[in-house]
Amino acid sequence: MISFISCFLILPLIAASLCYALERHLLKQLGVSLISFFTQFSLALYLLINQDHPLILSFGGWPADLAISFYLDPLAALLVAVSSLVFFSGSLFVFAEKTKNALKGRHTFTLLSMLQLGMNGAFLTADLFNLFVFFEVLLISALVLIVSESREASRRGALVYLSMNFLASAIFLFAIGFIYQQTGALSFELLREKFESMERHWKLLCAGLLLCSFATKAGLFPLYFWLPRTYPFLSGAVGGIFGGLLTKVGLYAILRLSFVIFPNGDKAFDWLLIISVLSMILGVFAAFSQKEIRSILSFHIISQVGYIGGGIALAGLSTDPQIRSLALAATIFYFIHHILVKSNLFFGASWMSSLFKSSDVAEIGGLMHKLPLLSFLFAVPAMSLAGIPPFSGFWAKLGVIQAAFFIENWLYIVAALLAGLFTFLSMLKIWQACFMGEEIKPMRPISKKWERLWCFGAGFLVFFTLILSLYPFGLYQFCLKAAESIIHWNLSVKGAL
Amino acid sequence: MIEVFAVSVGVLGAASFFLITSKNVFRALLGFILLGQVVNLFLFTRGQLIEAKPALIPDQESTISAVSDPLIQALILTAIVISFAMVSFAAALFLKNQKPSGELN
Repeated sequence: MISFISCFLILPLIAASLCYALERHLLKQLGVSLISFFTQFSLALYLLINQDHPLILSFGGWPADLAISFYLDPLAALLVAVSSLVFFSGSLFVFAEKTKNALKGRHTFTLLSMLQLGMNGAFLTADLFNLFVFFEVLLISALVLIVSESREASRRGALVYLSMNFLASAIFLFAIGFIYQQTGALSFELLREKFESMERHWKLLCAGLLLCSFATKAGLFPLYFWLPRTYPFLSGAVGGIFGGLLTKVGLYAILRLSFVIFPNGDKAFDWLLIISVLSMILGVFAAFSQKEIRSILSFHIISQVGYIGGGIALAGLSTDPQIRSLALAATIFYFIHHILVKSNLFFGASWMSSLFKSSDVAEIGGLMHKLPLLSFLFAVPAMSLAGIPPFSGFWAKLGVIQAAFFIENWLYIVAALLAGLFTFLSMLKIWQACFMGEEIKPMRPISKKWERLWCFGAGFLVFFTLILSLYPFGLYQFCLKAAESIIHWNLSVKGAL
Repeated sequence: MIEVFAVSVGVLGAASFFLITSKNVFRALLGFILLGQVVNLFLFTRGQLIEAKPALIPDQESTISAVSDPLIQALILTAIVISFAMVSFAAALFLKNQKPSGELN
């Protein structure tokens, strides 16, 4: 029997090769990608709802702790589903940009599917070295996507991105070396047992090296400087997918491995809390001083990553298991909300900049009168990011702050409220300048076809944001399930195959 | 044996960091290549360093002892392939961004 898990690895591969073969037929490429992404979304959602126990896929018939396994628990299913959504609406924007020749390179769809392969692999793997391999698959596809636009600015961004990630990978390998020498194991299941009896200084060394590497990928303080140098220079559609998803893979690794290394909580989470709070504050201050829409959004990513990292730290610091799963569930809720909202905002910035050939807030204006529907579709994620009730951002922030309140961590609460205020102010700045003001520069004419395509792409994500906003409890239940699955990581439960 | 490895990892690591921080394209690229090798050497020391004994179970026996860990060698093999791909991509990228003077753009 073919396990469901392998579908998440085989489908992107099939889609990628088909897109490669259909090199000259843009519409067919779009169709193949949309079908692949939507199938994965529905499959992941189905598994999330109907699966009581995690699915395990171990190659070669070895017992689960010896083999290189893939593991699908509620957390992985949730993340695969949400990332497929972003890829789905992202490919619509890619198509829109391609028909206008704003995006060069013939293999964008192929690369998107490869990017998804790397991402799914990273979410599903239960082996430390496999995580490294999938990170590299992800990295190389992301790099080729950046470079294939062959703009000078994006090439320079790729240089910074490549160098940082090369270093991060080297550090990750050093960590794997130390961990393997100390434990003789690489699968998460075994590592979790072995880490309990490990000496504390070794534990701290391994955790520190891993955190260094993942924080670089996630864009946490002080390793975030590559992020605002890369993202604003990407084409809008690709930028949206990157902005929503790439940093989250690093965060996912932190989320998963924190509780493999420190299953019972540890004072070491203080460090994660401190760097998260710093990136929360510094990111939002930097965003406040920017003038370019996509720079503002890029710095916001750093700040939001801080919220999520801080949530993980709070869960680690709490001693009560109930509060811990509450904090984790709130963090995962934030995670999902942020992926949807941030990608959508980047897509919004993409159509704005292609209308005005600039994304400087001073040169855009009066969009509210010209394009009311698209403005509404930008307003929903914008208000959600700012945390205005009843949008999903409000529920996400409420959740993590409530968790901090239970743990009585005032540092996090104060920082979260302050960062929330400034996020609100800087979103207000974009809104005032671009949507409410007078038209400053003449807008380029657009055809109905593009407008419909944009509306559909953005509306798709807005639809899910609205579901989260109006019925947060639905997702929250899944988040609680996912939180439990992080804490009670158990490979010995026999799933399919 | 392990001392030799330790010294070479240290020296090569220092050299690679020195090269990566340089502004010259070619040197930075060399730095990245060296860094990949340093990591591989380091990983190599993580399995035990035992000379001249293959990791095969001899006839009439069911277990084997005192050999170096073959898993680590598999890891290194994978890491070599990956770092090779990365370095060749980096080389192409660096060449495209190069100014005539050999400095990075």
